[in-house]
Amino acid sequence: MNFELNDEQRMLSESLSRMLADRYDFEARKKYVAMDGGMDPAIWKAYAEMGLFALPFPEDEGGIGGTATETMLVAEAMGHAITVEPWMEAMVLAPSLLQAASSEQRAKIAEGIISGETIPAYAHLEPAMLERDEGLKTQENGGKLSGTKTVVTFGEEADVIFVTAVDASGKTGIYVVKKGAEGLEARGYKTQDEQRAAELTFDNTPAEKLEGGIDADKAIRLAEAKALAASIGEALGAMEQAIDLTVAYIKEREQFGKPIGTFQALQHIAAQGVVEKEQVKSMAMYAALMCEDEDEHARDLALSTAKVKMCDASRYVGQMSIQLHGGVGMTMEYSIGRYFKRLTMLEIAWGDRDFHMDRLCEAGGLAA
Amino acid sequence: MELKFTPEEEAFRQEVRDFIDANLPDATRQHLKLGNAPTKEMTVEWQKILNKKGWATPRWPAEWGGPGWSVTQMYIFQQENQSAPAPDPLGFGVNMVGPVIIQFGNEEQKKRFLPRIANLDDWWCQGFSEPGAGSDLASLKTRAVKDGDHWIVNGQKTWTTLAQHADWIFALVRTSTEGKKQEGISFLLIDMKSPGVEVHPIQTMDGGHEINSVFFTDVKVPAENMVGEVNKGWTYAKFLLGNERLGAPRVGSSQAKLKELKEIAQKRIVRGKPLWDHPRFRDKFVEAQIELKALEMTVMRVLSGIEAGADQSKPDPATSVIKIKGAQMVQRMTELYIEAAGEQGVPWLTDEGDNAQVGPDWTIRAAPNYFNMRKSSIYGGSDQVQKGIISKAILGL
Repeated sequence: MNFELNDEQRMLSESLSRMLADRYDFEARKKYVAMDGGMDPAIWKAYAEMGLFALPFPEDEGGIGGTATETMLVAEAMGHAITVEPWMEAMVLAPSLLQAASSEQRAKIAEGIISGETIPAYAHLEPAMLERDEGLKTQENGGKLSGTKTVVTFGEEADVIFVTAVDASGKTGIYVVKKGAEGLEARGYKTQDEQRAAELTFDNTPAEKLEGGIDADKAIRLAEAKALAASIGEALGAMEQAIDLTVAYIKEREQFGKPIGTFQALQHIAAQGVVEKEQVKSMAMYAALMCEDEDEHARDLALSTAKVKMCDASRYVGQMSIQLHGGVGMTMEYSIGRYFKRLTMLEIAWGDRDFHMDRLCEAGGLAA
Repeated sequence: MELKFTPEEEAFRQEVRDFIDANLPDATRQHLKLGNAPTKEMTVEWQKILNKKGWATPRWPAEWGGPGWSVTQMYIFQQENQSAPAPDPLGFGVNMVGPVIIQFGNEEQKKRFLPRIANLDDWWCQGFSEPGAGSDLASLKTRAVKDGDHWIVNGQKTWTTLAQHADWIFALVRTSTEGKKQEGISFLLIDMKSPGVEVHPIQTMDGGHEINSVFFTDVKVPAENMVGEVNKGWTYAKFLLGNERLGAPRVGSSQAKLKELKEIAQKRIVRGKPLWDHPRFRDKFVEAQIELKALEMTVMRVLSGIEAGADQSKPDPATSVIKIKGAQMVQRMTELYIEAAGEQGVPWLTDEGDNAQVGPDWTIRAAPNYFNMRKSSIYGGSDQVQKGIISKAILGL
């Protein structure tokens, strides 16, 4: 047993946090989300230069060969600053999905992602598919895709889109579609947490199938598992900052002639937030350690366990933060509302509480 | 004790329901059913229809146009109106400033303001909170200084709901800095068109514009617009807040939402079967019904006490219970909606147009309503303020 970080891991976490502290404060973030394409390309470049996108790829593919623990640390720092760019797609989803590819395909696509030239998207959910494990309707026929994908993060802006689809024999595959491909239509919009997403329609759109690596179904499940693990790290970061902002506020806000943080009732509400957050910190580590486990069943139950805990804690910390801020917490003039919104969206992402409770209950609970 | 409504009361319920069905504009009903707040025009139109029928001011005495209903009838009316769903009569007028004028105002004030409140000819807003006076409302600083037959008002109010529509504001102003801070507050009626009144919008995290800051710079207010006695405004404010808390539970509205949620869940197919047939959803739904039933019984119990002649000169501490539970219920409804919406609740409908519509109509309001309703445990005296009242008034701590 060892929950300690090594020196390289600590350095990674510190340097990313420092960069975000310099370049990603509340005012800067407002500017980024208002930019065309919903993000600042210079920030994306900075992530690439720090090696974030090289982190998950193996060394022989130009990567660094990092583990899910490094990913968790990045996610935590990203959650702390509630960054909006599709880093999850670049450093978690794409590398996992590419495991279904041949080494030539992998090398070609990985290069663009590692350098920051290519922004990837992951198109999986469909309009008639309310849970992530329901059957796909998007169809591949003769190298072309037809169908609709919903709530695709940065789907309109992405350069390459990883699309899940079934072929004529009903077998699931992962297909790569390039931006501007024939028959591809994107209807983009802002999301509640100020990212971009899109509805994508494919009409006989040329696509390249990833093949030569592991089974596509397995790669999809791996990608979703690793994304879920990373999102718990992200929620942890957002909770840490939400608590810090809230505590700073109640120390400063005076009513009845003294800071409201001196009232024990409020102290205990905030203290409960710390209790919840610390549990999530442990679960983020657990998820990181388990998301690459060879035993898929054990992996998925572990991740569901962590996710349910994260949902409950996110909701407590998010709601508590608004309550303790009072009226100003409801406004766009304070950053706390954005943390609450991000935490809420993270509750929904990668299978919500009910989805994961179903999985745990159907399995008869945890193994031990 | 009798839980059942009498045949007369049931007949009354039917009468109310028939009237609403015959007169509520369908566009308004559909708009509200999707979880939208009513527009100003919808609220005004409906209140005028109700007022013509004599139903806009259920709690007012007959002398001032009240329908002379029993407390039970008032409750039935509110429940039917909310579950239609129809816009509530504007609370700032009929439930807040109206009763204060009736109880503490003079004859001229009653004649001048009450008919226009009932008919929603004047839209009223509430000038209580200030940037430095929230939970500690009595520390408010907006000053009113006597100058001949006028008061000169300077200061800032905040969280002023729908001030952008308002013709009038009822404001708590400081008229004395001597003695206890509660004893230097007065209750002043201010015309929003007066020179020196400025309304600044505050954008909330759901993206909406409902609340505002209102600034007063050397605003001249005729002395006859003071309600009751100078420096007695705190008493009137406590009376008003008690009424506000009693209106908070919105039981009828929550019942309508649960009904709609059930219809949604029956239609929504998740992993091959209706959401309604998923045990985890069903549990949450039934738990919400149980909580709502308990709240409904508590509201009826308190109303029955009022009907039986309980002392109304000061607020019943049970109103704090109703305020806390009412807020929780309203918030719980929005949680159930966002949980049902799932990923279809992620898009944010902004001024970019309707690109963001990805699921059924109701999904687009699920997240904004969840975010926006966090306010209900903050306004009208936060949960923490209510618990403070319970600790003092009930527990004697």
